[in-house]
Amino acid sequence: MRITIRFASLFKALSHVDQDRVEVAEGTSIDQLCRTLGQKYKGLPFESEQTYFVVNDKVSKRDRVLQENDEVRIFQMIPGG
Amino acid sequence: MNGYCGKMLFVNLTQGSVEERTLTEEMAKQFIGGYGIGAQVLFDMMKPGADALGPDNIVGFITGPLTGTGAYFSGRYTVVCKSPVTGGWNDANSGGFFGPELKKAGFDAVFVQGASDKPVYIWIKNGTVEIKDAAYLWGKDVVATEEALKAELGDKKIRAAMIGPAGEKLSLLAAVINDGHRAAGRGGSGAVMGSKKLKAVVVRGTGSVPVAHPDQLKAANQEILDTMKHGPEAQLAEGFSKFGTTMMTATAAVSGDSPVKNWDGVGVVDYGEEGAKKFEGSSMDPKYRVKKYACANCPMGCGAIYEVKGGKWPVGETSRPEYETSAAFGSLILNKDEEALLKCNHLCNIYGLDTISAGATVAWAIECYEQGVLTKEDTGGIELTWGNAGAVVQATQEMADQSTAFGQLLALGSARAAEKIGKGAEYLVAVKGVELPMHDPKLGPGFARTYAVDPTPGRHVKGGLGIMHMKSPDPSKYNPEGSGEPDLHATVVQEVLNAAGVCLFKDFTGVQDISLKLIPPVTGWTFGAEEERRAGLRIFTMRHAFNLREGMKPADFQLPARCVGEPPQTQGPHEGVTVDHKAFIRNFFQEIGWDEATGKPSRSSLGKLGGMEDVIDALDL
Repeated sequence: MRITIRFASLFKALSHVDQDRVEVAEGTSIDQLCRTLGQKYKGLPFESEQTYFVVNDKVSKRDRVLQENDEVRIFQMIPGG
Repeated sequence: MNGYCGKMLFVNLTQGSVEERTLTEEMAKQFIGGYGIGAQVLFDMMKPGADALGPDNIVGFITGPLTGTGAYFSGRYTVVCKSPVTGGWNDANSGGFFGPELKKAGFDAVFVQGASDKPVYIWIKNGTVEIKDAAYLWGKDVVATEEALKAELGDKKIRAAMIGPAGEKLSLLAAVINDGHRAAGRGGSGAVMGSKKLKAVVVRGTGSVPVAHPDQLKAANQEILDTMKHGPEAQLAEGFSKFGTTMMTATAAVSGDSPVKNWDGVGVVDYGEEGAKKFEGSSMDPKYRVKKYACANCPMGCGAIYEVKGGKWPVGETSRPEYETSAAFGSLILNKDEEALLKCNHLCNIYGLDTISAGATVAWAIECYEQGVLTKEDTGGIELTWGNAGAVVQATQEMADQSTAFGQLLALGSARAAEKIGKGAEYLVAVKGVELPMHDPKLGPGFARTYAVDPTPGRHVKGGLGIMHMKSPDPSKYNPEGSGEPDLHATVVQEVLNAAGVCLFKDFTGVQDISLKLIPPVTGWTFGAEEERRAGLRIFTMRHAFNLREGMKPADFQLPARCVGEPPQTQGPHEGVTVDHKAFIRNFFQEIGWDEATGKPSRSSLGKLGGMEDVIDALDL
């Protein structure tokens, strides 16, 4: 199934990628998605506890199982003034 | 005394007198610097009930022990006074180069009391002080003022903390500006300067600040640099150095950090990511960036200078807006036009307005207009609708120059404006009249306690759990159980950081305990976690005591319902979220040992803390 990835803030700055579409197996969780993405985008902090995964506009835990055409926004919040 | 000049300057503009006083090491150890020393001095010298816009108010410009020593991230100074917005304690700090230059000129702090009959500025050069005529500067914006001062004084290296026309006209949104675009923005300090007819404090110095252990300071700086470049947060530091706080603008808008549509909207629904992306540095830099900008002694350099040459709103050279400004003039009002943002940011800087309160006041006015509370007649014909970029620029121009009745109304800030017209209070998002900053407690629940309980309400740069919560996706952050101890710890640590003159963006380096790394080599003191805790608690309590003496109590600091999800939103990332703010607040009061109803500390706790004898007496504890 295909998933849309949207990188934001630090992830976008480091990868220079705004959006990607990736093919994953049925039943793939966010955690498993991270391992796939980690191969493609080296050095991005997918494993950090501060990394947000927002699936279809809802903050989601790493064990969430993804569905076809889900949109996963990946970012870290950066405080600023 | 290492880390300090050991001298404070007191200027009385009514009398036209100048006096130097010694800053003792005991006072420095107890209150560190910045708003710590400021709170102690104002508590001592001011009487409760003083008119914030009268001669009895005192405005102070205060550095910290690290300022001017070469310590990294130490470029900030603080402006303190009684706030004309809250009627209580006020402080706001700013980066740039003014603070270090003040110390090189020979003073740790300048306090100004009284009021002049005519516009003046204070000129401090290598320990000499003059009160000079500023009639020819009155009415000039901050950029023109700085150019005129350089010409008059024949020195291009002067630094000045000044007001623009907004402060002269006593706008309650008026900021103190230095270096053309760095702002001590919040709480109306610019109006206090204006009420004293004080256009600027101008400094120039060639002295140096004594450092106890220069080799140790050099090593501490190197450790900070190494951590920044090679530590676990190195990627973040690199990105932040490039794009500054604009790195997060779009993310904040859709994640629920940025308030949307005057705190009543949902980013992904009402605003969208594509519009917000136009406000990110990665989008704007290629079009507008002229050069990088760094404050004094900063290895990060998160700023940038832009130039808008054409389009509807050309502004020449201007600063890249910070995140707070981008959200206040972006998602909060549904504006998606980046050149309108740049114009509003520039207007606020040169006229001397706090961009957070300015954007938030426009947001309030838009909602009033959309709901029929304000009419086209009230706005002088401006079609003040959500996302109307041209209308927002026009309203901001009028708010800045007060050329119209509508502009004069907005210049009061949202709360006083609602009071003046006798309606629209239901759309206010402010605590004690201070418009909330651009971090939503529904994402970072700890902000709720900080916004409500800090002596300067509605601030995101004061300590607490807000930042930690905001950075964490873990939903356990909404559970207030056990929040008191870490909340108080984070608060007192940040009190010392702010008082020492440290920039909070040191967070992006991954460096831990920066106060403990830098204060000992500079001052030569034993300054560990316990000294930090006691100093931070003392500073926090002294600021709070100023408010208590003015008759304020915790119930006066009410959070607006929208910011805590009362009622909860029905869609978006905060769907169903209500922050248990009362529990976070209760836990904090219990931990610090203050009475939740009266706000009063106990006599015994202050006795143990030491250095609070005047507070015990004044509050009759």
